[in-house]
Amino acid sequence: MLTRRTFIKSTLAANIALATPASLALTAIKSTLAEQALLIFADETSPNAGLFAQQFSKSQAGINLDIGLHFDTFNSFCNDNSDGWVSGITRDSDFFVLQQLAAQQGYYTAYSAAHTAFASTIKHRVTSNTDKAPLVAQALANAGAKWPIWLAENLAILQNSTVANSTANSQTQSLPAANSDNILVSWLFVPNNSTSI
Amino acid sequence: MNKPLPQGISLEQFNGAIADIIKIIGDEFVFTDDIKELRSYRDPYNTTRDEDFAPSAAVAPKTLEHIQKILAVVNQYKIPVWTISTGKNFAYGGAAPRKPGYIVLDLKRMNRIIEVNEKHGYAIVEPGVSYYDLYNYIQEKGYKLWIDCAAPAWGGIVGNTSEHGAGYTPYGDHLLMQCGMQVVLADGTVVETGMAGSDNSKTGSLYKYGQGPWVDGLFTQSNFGVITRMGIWLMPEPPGYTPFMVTLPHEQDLELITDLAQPLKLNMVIPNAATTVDLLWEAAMSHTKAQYYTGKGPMPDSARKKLGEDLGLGVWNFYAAVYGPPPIMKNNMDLIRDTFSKIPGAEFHYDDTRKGSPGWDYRVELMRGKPNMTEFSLLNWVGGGGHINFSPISAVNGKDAYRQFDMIRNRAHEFDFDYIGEFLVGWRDQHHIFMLMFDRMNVEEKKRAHELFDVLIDDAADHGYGEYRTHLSFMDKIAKSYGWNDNALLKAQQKIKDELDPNGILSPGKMGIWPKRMRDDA
Repeated sequence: MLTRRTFIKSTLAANIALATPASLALTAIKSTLAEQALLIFADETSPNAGLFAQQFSKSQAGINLDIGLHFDTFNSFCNDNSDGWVSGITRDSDFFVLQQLAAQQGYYTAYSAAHTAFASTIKHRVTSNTDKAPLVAQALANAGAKWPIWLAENLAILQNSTVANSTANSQTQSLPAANSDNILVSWLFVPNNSTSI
Repeated sequence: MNKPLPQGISLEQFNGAIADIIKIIGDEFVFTDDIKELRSYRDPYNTTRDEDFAPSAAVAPKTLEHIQKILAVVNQYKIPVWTISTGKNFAYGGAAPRKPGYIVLDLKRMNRIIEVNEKHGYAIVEPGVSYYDLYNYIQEKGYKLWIDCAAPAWGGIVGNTSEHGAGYTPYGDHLLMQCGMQVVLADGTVVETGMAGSDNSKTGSLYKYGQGPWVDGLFTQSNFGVITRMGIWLMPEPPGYTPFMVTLPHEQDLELITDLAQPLKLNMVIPNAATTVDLLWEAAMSHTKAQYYTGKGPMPDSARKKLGEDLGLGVWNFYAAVYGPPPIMKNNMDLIRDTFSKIPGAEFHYDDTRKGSPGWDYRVELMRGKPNMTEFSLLNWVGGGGHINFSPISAVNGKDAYRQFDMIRNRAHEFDFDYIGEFLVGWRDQHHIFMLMFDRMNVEEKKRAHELFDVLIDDAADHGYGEYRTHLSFMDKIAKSYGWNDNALLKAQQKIKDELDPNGILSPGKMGIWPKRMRDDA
């Protein structure tokens, strides 16, 4: 049975170890991040999503392919944390479903990106605000195979005070190992009352 | 970005109406921010421009009285409202209105489960009650009742039933199991239908018809009123349940399985809404197309063959179940096995061998009315999982089923799409659902999907097939395809519309029914 995990972490660590030249402008923003209630979703069948999840702690119970089993967790988190963030690396279908739930809870999508792996190449299609989209796309490409770690450690800079509406693409070639993930989506939902960091 | 406004309405008039509605339900439940608040009232799967279905606002009343007052306001301004319950009508338009600028009348806050009657097996619910809500409530109370849910079960009972949706238990024809409704007409009049039309009725959820014309159907897939509560029959939990699956190795087996299933369905040996599901639909629960084929266009036969072998799936996969005391189930299963064993290469599968297979697991839950969301996995088949459903009705007849499949498959391939489909087998009809999957971020692919859908409507009409439900973009065209006697049916519906809603405020254009004042522009 395929399984996935959810994770909850109350504090996002500030770690700039993986900051790359292209993202220098963003790391300055990130350093202002204080404690942030956070709910993380990660597709456990995907090594990349697993890598992302490993950057956080407090693993919760596993679930199967039915994202509906997460509804209570999602809604409870939003109800209990009025300024909480929800993020993840998941299948596109799970992103879509959670995005609809997020809207009902008064959240919007501040950032999302499709990551398409084929042979030794991974393509990133980032949707963020106009200024950040190309920077994030380049940073993901620069991070190579460690792009999920870059995302986890730079989550704060993905926050936008507006709905993500600009797209930028990048890609990394000659990754050391072929990737079987095919298509994953990384995303960040923040409450409508959230302000930009 | 310009504010979408209803046709012929100025920003000043719109703001006036919104101010009046805020006085009725409060600022918190009136949404006008196009970016943050109204995003979820658009159609993520539209095949045209995003702005084609952009609402101007959404308002969420809590009570019947709120609705009456809101309707009074929009009647005054002649602003159209588009009614939704939980807004999960994805593949057919989601929560989005037919035209830009409408105000969405979102009934999600009307979410009371008014009654569940275990003895007589029914529930009365408001429009905001989802299948999950009712299921959880029944579990909490320990009632020995089953619900019948749509495949992604986050939708609402009232919404799905009024869209003529279907489920997978013996109560799978949702409108057939509906009994009594409360409706607010455009002028604010509240009507109880059927037996509940009498004072102090005690049988409103037991007998559908009352005296005189049965009008409930008029308020489904229509724009003649706002349904504010509905009775729905619930199946008593049976003493036993045996789901099964038959895998079929050849495309042509669709004809045979359909003809063999037909008498079993009609005689209720198979009592539930069975499904004949194609290979790709099943495979998409856990796999993506790119894992087996990375070229352009539809997946070739060689890749399909490998996929089927790897996952232990047939080209077609027939799911059904029997229910009841063990002797009855055994008797019926013997008959079913004897019947389907006539198909060369057909293999029976049960829980002991299929458990853990994603396709099996979620269908086993659906056929016993347990809500889940697994079917959304289909969206991962291609990247950017957009989809709209082409849904013609077929007879439970092998030749018809195969002809429809062949027609749609060939057209889909011509337009470089996969055929991903299923037949939902009723007593006398089949809902044939072709899930047209496309990358919702790819403008060219969306355009191609739109063109394919348009051609399919013509193809189906040429063969004498009509669709039971459709996406916003195609409502007018399909309404016109019901063209017998110079569209007499649509004209009758328009007459009713003009009488019940003279200002044309309720969901104009729903299923091709436009009010008089908007008919020329439609």
